Amino acid sequence: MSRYLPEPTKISKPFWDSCNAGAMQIQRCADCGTYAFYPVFICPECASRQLEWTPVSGRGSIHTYTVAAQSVFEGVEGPVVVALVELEEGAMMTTNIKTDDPYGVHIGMAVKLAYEPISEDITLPVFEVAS
Amino acid sequence: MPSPGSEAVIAGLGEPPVGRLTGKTPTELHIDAAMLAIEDSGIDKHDIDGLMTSGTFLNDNIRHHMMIGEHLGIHCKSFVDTLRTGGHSYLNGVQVAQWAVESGLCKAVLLLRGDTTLSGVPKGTSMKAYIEYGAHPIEFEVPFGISVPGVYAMLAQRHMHEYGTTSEQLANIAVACRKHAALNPKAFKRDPISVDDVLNSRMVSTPLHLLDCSPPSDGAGAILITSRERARDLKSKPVRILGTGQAQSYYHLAHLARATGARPEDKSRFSLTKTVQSVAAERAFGMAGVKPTDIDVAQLYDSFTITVLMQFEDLGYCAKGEGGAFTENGRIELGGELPVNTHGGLLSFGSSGGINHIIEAVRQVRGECGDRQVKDVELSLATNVSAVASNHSIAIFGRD
Ligand SMILES: [Zn+2]
Repeated sequence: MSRYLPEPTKISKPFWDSCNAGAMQIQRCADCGTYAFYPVFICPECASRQLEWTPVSGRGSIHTYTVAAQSVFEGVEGPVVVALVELEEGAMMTTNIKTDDPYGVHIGMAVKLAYEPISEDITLPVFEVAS
Repeated sequence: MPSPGSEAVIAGLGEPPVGRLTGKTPTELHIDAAMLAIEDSGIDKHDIDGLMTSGTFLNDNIRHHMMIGEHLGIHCKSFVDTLRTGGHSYLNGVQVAQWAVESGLCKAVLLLRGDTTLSGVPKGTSMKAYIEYGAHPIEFEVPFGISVPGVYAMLAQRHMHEYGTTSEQLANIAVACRKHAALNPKAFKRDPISVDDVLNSRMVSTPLHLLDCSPPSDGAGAILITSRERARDLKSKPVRILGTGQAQSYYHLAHLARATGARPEDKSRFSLTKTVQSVAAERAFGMAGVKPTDIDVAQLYDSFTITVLMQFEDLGYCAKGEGGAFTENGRIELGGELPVNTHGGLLSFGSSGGINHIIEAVRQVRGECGDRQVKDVELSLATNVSAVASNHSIAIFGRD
């Protein structure tokens, strides 16, 4: 199976544009301060529409993960670390941890944002182990 | 409270063979299962006026129930649907059928599943089919290489981190299901396995091994729900639906883990390892007026071993974090405190989706389970789970 590429939508385009630019932004609610991810039309906590695209620090930690022995995609080498990362700002995202030591990854590990271009139009936000 | 006589009961069961059914089509399996349930109950098919199916893996048509109804010659219905809640469509369906019968909307409702997820899916195409079926959020999870075993593995990893759960404890569940399957002539996987066999099987996605994962299997099931009063004229032994409950949460792991949007005071009640099944359970046990420890036998949805382990906690059999210990010392095997998945479960009986758990729960109350029968069953429990431990439904069955 070839790799699925995200298809940016009206609501998600600013996110994917920011990843392409190497400076990821997610939405922050101007009313309650919640950082939301994935992209939403209203704040999922307070229903405000005052959502502002805001840069993040890129620091986070691993909430949970798995090391898949084989990749599900052709052209992607296994093992693959799929993780749920909690950003310093509080939002979480499903992502990959890029590391030479996949079985050395652990919950709570500090990670930092990196970018992996996978097509002309799409750059995935991925994470590396923070030094 | 339903008026006396109008209470919903299960009055018919159909369960064709499971395993590798080369040459069978999903539609044919629906018909086979339906005819067995009609035969089992002795109902005149013209009295069936409710029909629910759930589509199939490769044919997720919203008119699926219409096609099946036509094949069966069940013409005019007063309630129908093609259920779209994945593996938990069947206890979801039992509860909907209960409402339809107890409100007087329907006289008798037929709930069906049939699929060939083993022999009917061309090799190497099932992952793509799962993605197109909608198993995972396609924009924010799929591109990172997520899979169904992978997401349950992420739950297991988190459970191990928070509570010290071990791979051996997960393996106990696979071993118990296999022991029970060995006593069930219909089961797909009957060769005995040990905890070591599970731990030595191929690592699919850490920490889940191949034998922690239910294998693809063809299979089907049919359940006929009617009122207690109507069941008196039928030939099968009716089984009461004493309590039902369902609860659904989220799709994206990021929001599931944080209980995004929940009341501030509720956020700490839910996480990747604390599911909304606790809410469904509270409703089902409350409606039935019984406690978890009153249940004689439980058929718990077992897509993966971790799916079962977390349910011991969320159903109230032990405190959060003690699910691992609950699997020990034969507690969940026949002869133990809570025999689980006496048919063998998805892990060893086979089939797919949650309908066969319901059928086994009803059979245990009927006392028809042969070598795997639990003695004097008064109350049995079945659960269905889907969408990464976020859609849950429960039913408690009892003697009439
Ligand atoms: Zn807000």
